Amino acid sequence: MSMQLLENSFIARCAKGNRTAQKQLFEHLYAPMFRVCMRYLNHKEDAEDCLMKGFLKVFQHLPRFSYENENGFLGWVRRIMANECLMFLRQKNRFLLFPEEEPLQGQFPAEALLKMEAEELNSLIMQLPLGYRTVFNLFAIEGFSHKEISALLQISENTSKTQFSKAKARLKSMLEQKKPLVYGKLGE
Amino acid sequence: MENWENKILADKLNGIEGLPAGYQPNLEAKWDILQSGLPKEKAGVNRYLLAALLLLLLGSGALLWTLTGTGPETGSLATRPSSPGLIKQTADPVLSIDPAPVTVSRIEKKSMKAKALKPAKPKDSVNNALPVLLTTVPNQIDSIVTPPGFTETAVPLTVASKKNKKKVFQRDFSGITAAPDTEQTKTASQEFSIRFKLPSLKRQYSGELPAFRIKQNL
Repeated sequence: MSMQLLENSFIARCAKGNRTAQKQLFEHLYAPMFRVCMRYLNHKEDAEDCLMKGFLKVFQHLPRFSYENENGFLGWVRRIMANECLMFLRQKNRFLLFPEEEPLQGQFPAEALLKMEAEELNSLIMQLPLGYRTVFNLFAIEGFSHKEISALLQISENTSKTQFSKAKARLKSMLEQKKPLVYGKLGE
Repeated sequence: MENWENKILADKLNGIEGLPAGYQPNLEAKWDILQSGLPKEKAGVNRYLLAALLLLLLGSGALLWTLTGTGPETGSLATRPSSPGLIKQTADPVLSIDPAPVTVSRIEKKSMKAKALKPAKPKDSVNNALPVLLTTVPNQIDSIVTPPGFTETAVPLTVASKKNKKKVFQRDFSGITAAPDTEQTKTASQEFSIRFKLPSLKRQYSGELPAFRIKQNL
């Protein structure tokens, strides 16, 4: 992603309320942040709703954000989007969909995942059940700790760890079978 | 999974550019919706602040002008030498009185009307008649002729205030300074007294200085 746009001066203009700069930022971040929301919600309209609420919060809290670098800024925006999605899921009580699965058996095929193409990997993760996918996204991709995840999802730390190991087991199973799972999708 | 593996996964997923296939949102329309929920630009807020400040300044200026420019006489008359209708003391020892007419402000008129509606009290007559006195005094003083050879040493001025306090202000023209005096008046009256000190007359009248008094009971 070309991040020359996300320099300190540009972010400062957005923070001061410059509409032109804010629009540029919105257009620049729409696609990547939409994908973040889709990874959590797997539903286009829900993802759009959360994305708009997230952008609103980004612009509202931007004056208080202390800029360090582009990656830090992007991480901050991603976290806001993730929080919006989690709030949405909590409101819908979608976390009750945690299925009980067998614990992980054998070695997790991390190398196989890393060798996959990004789009293929993304579609594989999207097929995970909601609870697994949420914890996997938060822990493996967004970098939250299990303690933070437990606070965000209002679950125990052990539940977060269990969900993450189960997500890995499911991914392994999917890789072995190479056929998509059908349950756990939102909006169905 | 190790942390480095998570990092590679995250980079790979976050590195996906563009929107999912088949999804083409109208970004202009979405921006319009988002913009309506955003707070106003700071420059706009500054404009409003400036406008509010300007209004405040204008309002306070108008209030001050009303109170000081044409407002009621609140203090002692003698303390306002620049006000119209009052005696002006200059470096020239000759007494000069400004014969300009007294202007009565709206507030003063209101207070005079309000007092006129109240039951008559002896004190009220003083306040009501104050402007009349000021307009009549100069004509009477003009008739005073200073005898040749007299040295003017002091010009005491006595004006009864609204609270029946009479303040005497003395201006010394020959180095003799008399202490300011304040005395209560029981009768509601206004009095101007002008004294001319003559050493020969002092001896003749055994201590009591001759004085020309202009007195008007109100």
